Amino acid sequence: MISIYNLCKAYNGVPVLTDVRATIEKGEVVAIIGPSGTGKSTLLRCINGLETPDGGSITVNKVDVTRADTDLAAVRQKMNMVFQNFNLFNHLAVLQNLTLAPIQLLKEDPMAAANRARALLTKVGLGDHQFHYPSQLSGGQKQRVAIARCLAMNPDVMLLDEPTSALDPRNIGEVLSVLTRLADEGMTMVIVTHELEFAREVADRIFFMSDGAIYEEGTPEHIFGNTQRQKTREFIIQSRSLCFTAAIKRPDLHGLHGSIRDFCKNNGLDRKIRHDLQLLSEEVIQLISAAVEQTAHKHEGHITVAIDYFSNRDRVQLIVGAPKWIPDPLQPDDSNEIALALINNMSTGVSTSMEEQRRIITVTL
Amino acid sequence: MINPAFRALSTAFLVTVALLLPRILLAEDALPYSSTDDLSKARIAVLQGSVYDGLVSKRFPQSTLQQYLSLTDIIAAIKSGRADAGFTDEPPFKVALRTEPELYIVGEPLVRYPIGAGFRKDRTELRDAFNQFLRGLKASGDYDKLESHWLDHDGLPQQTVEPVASGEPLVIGTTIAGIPFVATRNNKLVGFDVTLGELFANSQNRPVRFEQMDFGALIAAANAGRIDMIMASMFITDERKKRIDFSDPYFELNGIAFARIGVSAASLTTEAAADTSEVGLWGAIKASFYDNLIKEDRYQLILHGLWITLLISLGATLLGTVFGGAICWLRMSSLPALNVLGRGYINLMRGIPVLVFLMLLYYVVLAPVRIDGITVSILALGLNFAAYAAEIYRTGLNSIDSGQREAGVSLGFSEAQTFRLILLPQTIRAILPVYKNEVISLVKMTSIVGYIAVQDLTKASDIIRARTFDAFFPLIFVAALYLLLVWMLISLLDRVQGARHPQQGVRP
Repeated sequence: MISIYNLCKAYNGVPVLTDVRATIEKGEVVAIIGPSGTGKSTLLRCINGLETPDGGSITVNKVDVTRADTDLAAVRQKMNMVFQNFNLFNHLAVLQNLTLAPIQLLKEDPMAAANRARALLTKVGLGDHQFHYPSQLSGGQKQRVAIARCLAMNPDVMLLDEPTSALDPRNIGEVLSVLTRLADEGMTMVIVTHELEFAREVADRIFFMSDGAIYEEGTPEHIFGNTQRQKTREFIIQSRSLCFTAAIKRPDLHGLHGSIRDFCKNNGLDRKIRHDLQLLSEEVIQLISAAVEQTAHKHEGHITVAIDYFSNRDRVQLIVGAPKWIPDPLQPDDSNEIALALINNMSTGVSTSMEEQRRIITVTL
Repeated sequence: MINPAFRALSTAFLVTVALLLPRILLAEDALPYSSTDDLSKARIAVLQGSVYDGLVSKRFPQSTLQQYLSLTDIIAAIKSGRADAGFTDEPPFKVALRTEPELYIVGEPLVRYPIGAGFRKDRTELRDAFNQFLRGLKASGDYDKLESHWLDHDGLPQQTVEPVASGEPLVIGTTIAGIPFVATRNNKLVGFDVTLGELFANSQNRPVRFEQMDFGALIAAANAGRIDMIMASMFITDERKKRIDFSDPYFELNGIAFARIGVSAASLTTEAAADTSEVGLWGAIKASFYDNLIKEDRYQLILHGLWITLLISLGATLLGTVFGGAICWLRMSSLPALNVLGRGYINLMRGIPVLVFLMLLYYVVLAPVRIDGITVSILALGLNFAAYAAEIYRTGLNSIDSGQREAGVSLGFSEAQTFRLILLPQTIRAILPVYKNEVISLVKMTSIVGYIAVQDLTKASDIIRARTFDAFFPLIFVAALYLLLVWMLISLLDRVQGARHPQQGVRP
């Protein structure tokens, strides 16, 4: 249905896409993953014609969209796009957002278009919101309306450009649920996403992009389970968890904060969670330091800080490991009362255990 | 808390004091100047562009010259003490003297000047025709009848000259010099010059049209071809002869100096003062209201002016709004040539005062074309408005997130459809508040069109003031009308804004 051959694109001489080749079949759900700045969104925008490639070709339903004489508008009517920032028409109510294109472009009867739009809104769970304006909706609701707006055009294929990246973590689930349902119904979709769990669940095939090209493609089982290619492996491991090592003596707290900031950004976690993670990890490290003070041990060894993010369960886990000779830092005493209370308050669960000769403290948000 | 009734009363009191102040202040009973020689160090008010400004600098080099646009303004300046004496033509001043008892003529006449009709230098045929017509009129004795009718009887009872119905109209430039020469009465231009002009046009078998303008603009207008001839009680002077040709004199008149007496006794014996003392302060206001608005149906002048102001406002807004769109398109074009053109236009229009631009259009750019002042006004104000509108549009368009365009085209809309259905409605919504302000200033800016002889609301008040020599009522009334006009426009645009800003709530 879509075939991309030899696609190249550069911005001001900096190559963004180099020799991208791919085919996407009808009914297929393709997830494009990869580190930031590797041209995932640019590839999607080239398919849609929002960006003009410098070389190569893209054919959609056997029509070459890169040629200047192609009627792009006609192609786009069958190939709609969902944007990271929703881009709902702010001057129109939800229902008119859905009916504008069918009435104007497909010359649909306004009443029929409105009825169909209402059915689509019900499908995405927003049947009650047809008279709302975009400014009155939450991010998740806006994105569901945007999806319904695409569906109103009865597209052959939907292009989704990071549909959950601008959302509050609380709202990601509702959008992913709608998309999962669409995938089950057989809609052809190309999704650029950072939600690896979602990509794994919903995609038939995964393109892993790195440095402007499709580095590896395969089934989710292959990419997430047993890929042997190094960049893919590193990305999969990195993006799901953060690993940071600090010396017990004078730990690099600024470095830790910076890593947490990057991790949150890559995973679309908001400021609040970032702040909590930074504060919690700092408090736990302080507790460990306090515990070390009580021993006669020389301050040697290191602390590891790991963060795991489970987007499908909307849960973040902070795992701090320390050498086993350190006494349990969570043991209450006079000096750490406040810190313990703070940790308990900010998290949903705190536990400590011994694993592989190390003391592990797990904090769940 | 101030009682509203008390406030109304005190306002009425202030108004009354303002009306009567000139009369109350006149306490002394002396003529400050007994001969024109006493005026050597005075502040002297003259009509701008009249012969008197040259006369003042020649005969009274130590005096201070003040130039005004009408006799009304000169009289007002003298009454309020801002000028010591005024120089003007004797006949219109004598008329003014009937209602202005605190003024008097100083000494002997300053000059005696012949008055002639003015023609562009190449219009010798028309000039000769006029001279021949004048000789005929004098020979038949009709001239003497006409002169006596206007100079001795103020042109009453009113006589009308039946105009020729069709043909190329003879356009005569004139200025409101006051009775007996040129004045408005019952909203019609009348006077000795006017009747003479009408008779001359009839003798040429042509209909006549009078074009009213400021005195200083007449010669320029004749040379620009906007008018065929000048009949505005214009003195024949050597200086003027360099610029235009004159007919044989059709009248001779005295130029006089006048000043304020300040005699309370004298003013009390006059009708106006007697009225005031009989019916009280309220009566004075009523009388002033009657004089300025009711008498001779003067309110019709105001209504007509209101209509012209409205017409120019709407026309210029419409032109500027549409043309501004084109300029905005140029300004936002990615082609350097078009972009520079748009930028240049905007900078040019924003850099020239709109009044200067208006006069440039009227007297220079469009001088060879016969377009009436209203059209020129709409053009000038509209073209000026377009520059501001273009910048407003550009700001509005830039404020719309680029994602809106992308969402539009990615649904399959063409660029034009995206603009019309998605970007334009949002832009309109964004710019309306600023646009509204710009329209309001445009409406008020229309008050400058009087400079090119268009009788708008402001000019209407000037014309009435020229007859009643009263500044208070015409100005207050016109100010109130502008306020009303602007208020109506705001309500109208607010309504549009309301429609563009759909209620941010859930409909039932």
